[in-house]
Amino acid sequence: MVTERAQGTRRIYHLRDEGMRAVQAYLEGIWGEAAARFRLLAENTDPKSPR
Amino acid sequence: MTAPLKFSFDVDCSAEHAFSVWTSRIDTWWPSDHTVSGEAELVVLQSGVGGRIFERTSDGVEHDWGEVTHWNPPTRLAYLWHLGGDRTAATEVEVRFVARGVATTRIEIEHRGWEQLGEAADQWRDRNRVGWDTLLPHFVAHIERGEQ
Repeated sequence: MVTERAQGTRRIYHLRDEGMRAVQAYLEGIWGEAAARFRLLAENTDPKSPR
Repeated sequence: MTAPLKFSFDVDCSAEHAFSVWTSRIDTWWPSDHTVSGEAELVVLQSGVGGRIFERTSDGVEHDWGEVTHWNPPTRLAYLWHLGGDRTAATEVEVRFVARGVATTRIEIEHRGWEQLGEAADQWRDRNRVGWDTLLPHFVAHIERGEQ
Protein backbone atom coordinates (compact mmCIF):
# COMPACT_ATOMS: atom_id res chain seq x y z
CA MET A 1 0.00 0.00 0.00
CA VAL A 2 2.94 2.32 0.65
CA THR A 3 5.83 2.96 -1.73
CA GLU A 4 9.22 4.04 -0.48
CA ARG A 5 12.23 5.71 -2.11
CA ALA A 6 15.43 7.20 -0.77
CA GLN A 7 16.29 10.86 -1.49
CA GLY A 8 19.68 11.77 -0.03
CA THR A 9 19.50 10.83 3.61
CA ARG A 10 15.71 10.92 3.66
CA ARG A 11 13.27 8.23 2.82
CA ILE A 12 10.14 9.39 1.07
CA TYR A 13 7.02 7.38 1.79
CA HIS A 14 4.14 7.75 -0.58
CA LEU A 15 0.74 6.21 -0.23
CA ARG A 16 -0.37 4.87 -3.55
CA ASP A 17 -3.60 6.35 -4.85
CA GLU A 18 -5.40 3.04 -4.96
CA GLY A 19 -4.41 2.36 -1.35
CA MET A 20 -5.82 5.73 -0.31
CA ARG A 21 -9.04 5.12 -2.19
CA ALA A 22 -9.37 1.72 -0.59
CA VAL A 23 -8.96 3.16 2.91
CA GLN A 24 -11.52 5.85 2.10
CA ALA A 25 -14.01 3.33 0.74
CA TYR A 26 -13.50 1.11 3.76
CA LEU A 27 -14.11 3.95 6.21
CA GLU A 28 -17.18 5.08 4.32
CA GLY A 29 -18.54 1.56 4.68
CA ILE A 30 -17.88 1.47 8.42
CA TRP A 31 -19.40 4.90 9.03
CA GLY A 32 -22.41 4.02 6.91
CA GLU A 33 -23.08 0.91 8.94
CA ALA A 34 -22.39 2.69 12.24
CA ALA A 35 -24.72 5.57 11.30
CA ALA A 36 -27.56 3.22 10.41
CA ARG A 37 -27.22 1.30 13.66
CA PHE A 38 -26.91 4.51 15.69
CA ARG A 39 -30.02 5.99 14.10
CA LEU A 40 -32.07 2.87 14.75
CA LEU A 41 -31.06 2.75 18.40
CA ALA A 42 -31.44 6.48 19.06
CA GLU A 43 -34.89 6.70 17.48
CA ASN A 44 -36.18 3.67 19.34
CA THR A 45 -34.93 4.67 22.76
CA ASP A 46 -35.84 8.37 22.82
CA PRO A 47 -37.87 8.89 26.03
CA LYS A 48 -39.64 11.90 24.47
CA SER A 49 -40.71 9.99 21.40
CA PRO A 50 -44.45 9.25 21.13
CA ARG A 51 -43.59 5.75 19.87
CA MET B 1 -3.25 16.80 2.74
CA THR B 2 -6.23 14.61 2.08
CA ALA B 3 -9.61 16.20 2.66
CA PRO B 4 -11.52 15.13 5.79
CA LEU B 5 -14.23 12.54 5.35
CA LYS B 6 -17.61 14.12 6.08
CA PHE B 7 -20.91 12.38 6.71
CA SER B 8 -24.21 13.75 7.93
CA PHE B 9 -27.68 12.39 8.52
CA ASP B 10 -30.83 13.24 10.46
CA VAL B 11 -32.11 11.28 13.41
CA ASP B 12 -35.58 11.66 14.93
CA CYS B 13 -34.73 12.43 18.54
CA SER B 14 -33.46 15.33 20.63
CA ALA B 15 -29.79 16.38 20.52
CA GLU B 16 -29.51 15.47 24.22
CA HIS B 17 -30.64 11.93 23.53
CA ALA B 18 -28.46 11.61 20.42
CA PHE B 19 -25.37 12.74 22.36
CA SER B 20 -26.18 10.33 25.17
CA VAL B 21 -26.65 7.37 22.82
CA TRP B 22 -23.51 8.20 20.88
CA THR B 23 -21.36 8.21 24.01
CA SER B 24 -22.84 6.08 26.79
CA ARG B 25 -24.32 3.45 24.47
CA ILE B 26 -21.58 3.17 21.85
CA ASP B 27 -21.33 -0.46 22.90
CA THR B 28 -24.77 -1.10 21.45
CA TRP B 29 -24.57 0.60 18.09
CA TRP B 30 -20.92 0.45 16.99
CA PRO B 31 -20.64 -2.51 14.54
CA SER B 32 -19.17 -5.25 16.73
CA ASP B 33 -17.06 -6.75 13.96
CA HIS B 34 -15.24 -3.44 13.41
CA THR B 35 -13.13 -3.77 16.53
CA VAL B 36 -9.46 -4.50 17.19
CA SER B 37 -9.99 -8.00 18.54
CA GLY B 38 -13.06 -8.82 16.46
CA GLU B 39 -14.60 -10.26 19.64
CA ALA B 40 -15.05 -7.28 21.93
CA GLU B 41 -17.36 -8.00 24.83
CA LEU B 42 -17.57 -4.36 25.82
CA VAL B 43 -16.87 -0.99 24.19
CA VAL B 44 -16.57 2.05 26.45
CA LEU B 45 -16.43 5.78 25.71
CA GLN B 46 -15.70 7.50 29.03
CA SER B 47 -17.33 10.90 29.54
CA GLY B 48 -15.38 14.16 29.65
CA VAL B 49 -12.15 15.44 28.10
CA GLY B 50 -9.43 12.83 28.55
CA GLY B 51 -11.97 10.00 28.70
CA ARG B 52 -10.68 6.72 27.34
CA ILE B 53 -12.29 4.87 24.46
CA PHE B 54 -11.50 1.19 24.57
CA GLU B 55 -12.78 -2.31 24.03
CA ARG B 56 -12.52 -5.22 26.45
CA THR B 57 -12.55 -8.84 25.40
CA SER B 58 -14.17 -11.67 27.38
CA ASP B 59 -10.78 -12.63 28.84
CA GLY B 60 -10.28 -9.10 30.18
CA VAL B 61 -7.79 -7.79 27.63
CA GLU B 62 -8.29 -4.09 26.84
CA HIS B 63 -7.44 -2.40 23.55
CA ASP B 64 -7.33 1.39 23.52
CA TRP B 65 -9.15 3.04 20.63
CA GLY B 66 -8.62 6.69 21.46
CA GLU B 67 -9.27 9.59 23.81
CA VAL B 68 -11.94 12.28 24.14
CA THR B 69 -10.60 15.75 23.23
CA HIS B 70 -13.79 17.86 23.25
CA TRP B 71 -16.85 17.18 25.37
CA ASN B 72 -19.64 19.74 24.94
CA PRO B 73 -22.97 17.98 25.47
CA PRO B 74 -25.29 18.05 23.68
CA THR B 75 -23.74 19.85 20.72
CA ARG B 76 -20.19 18.70 20.08
CA LEU B 77 -17.87 15.79 20.72
CA ALA B 78 -14.38 15.06 19.40
CA TYR B 79 -11.94 12.27 20.01
CA LEU B 80 -8.60 10.91 18.92
CA TRP B 81 -9.10 7.61 17.19
CA HIS B 82 -6.39 5.09 16.48
CA LEU B 83 -8.18 1.79 17.01
CA GLY B 84 -5.34 -0.15 18.59
CA GLY B 85 -2.70 1.45 16.38
CA ASP B 86 0.01 3.89 17.31
CA ARG B 87 -1.32 6.80 19.38
CA THR B 88 0.99 9.24 17.58
CA ALA B 89 -0.74 8.33 14.32
CA ALA B 90 -4.25 8.86 15.67
CA THR B 91 -6.96 10.22 13.42
CA GLU B 92 -9.50 12.71 14.76
CA VAL B 93 -13.25 12.28 14.79
CA GLU B 94 -15.52 15.26 15.42
CA VAL B 95 -19.27 14.85 15.83
CA ARG B 96 -21.69 17.77 15.93
CA PHE B 97 -25.27 17.36 17.08
CA VAL B 98 -27.33 20.13 15.48
CA ALA B 99 -30.87 20.46 16.84
CA ARG B 100 -33.45 20.89 14.08
CA GLY B 101 -36.59 21.38 16.14
CA VAL B 102 -37.31 19.48 19.34
CA ALA B 103 -37.48 16.02 17.81
CA THR B 104 -34.90 15.98 15.02
CA THR B 105 -31.13 16.26 15.20
CA ARG B 106 -28.65 16.48 12.38
CA ILE B 107 -25.52 14.42 13.04
CA GLU B 108 -22.43 15.81 11.31
CA ILE B 109 -19.35 13.60 11.40
CA GLU B 110 -15.92 14.75 10.31
CA HIS B 111 -13.07 12.24 10.27
CA ARG B 112 -9.71 13.99 9.86
CA GLY B 113 -6.23 12.58 9.31
CA TRP B 114 -7.66 9.26 8.13
CA GLU B 115 -4.95 8.97 5.47
CA GLN B 116 -2.63 7.94 8.30
CA LEU B 117 -4.54 4.69 8.47
CA GLY B 118 -3.17 3.91 5.04
CA GLU B 119 0.35 4.90 5.97
CA ALA B 120 0.13 2.75 9.09
CA ALA B 121 -1.19 -0.26 7.21
CA ASP B 122 2.15 -2.05 6.93
CA GLN B 123 2.93 -1.32 10.56
CA TRP B 124 -0.45 -2.67 11.64
CA ARG B 125 -0.01 -5.77 9.59
CA ASP B 126 3.36 -6.54 11.14
CA ARG B 127 2.67 -5.59 14.73
CA ASN B 128 -0.98 -6.24 15.18
CA ARG B 129 -1.88 -9.08 12.91
CA VAL B 130 -5.11 -9.80 14.69
CA GLY B 131 -6.41 -6.29 14.16
CA TRP B 132 -5.46 -6.02 10.55
CA ASP B 133 -6.61 -9.52 9.70
CA THR B 134 -9.95 -8.73 11.26
CA LEU B 135 -10.36 -5.51 9.35
CA LEU B 136 -9.00 -6.73 6.06
CA PRO B 137 -11.88 -9.00 4.99
CA HIS B 138 -14.33 -6.10 5.36
CA PHE B 139 -11.94 -3.90 3.51
CA VAL B 140 -11.60 -6.34 0.63
CA ALA B 141 -15.32 -7.12 0.52
CA HIS B 142 -16.09 -3.43 0.30
CA ILE B 143 -13.67 -2.90 -2.56
CA GLU B 144 -15.03 -5.88 -4.43
CA ARG B 145 -18.58 -4.64 -4.05
CA GLY B 146 -17.44 -1.30 -5.39
CA GLU B 147 -16.03 -2.89 -8.52
CA GLN B 148 -19.19 -4.71 -9.47
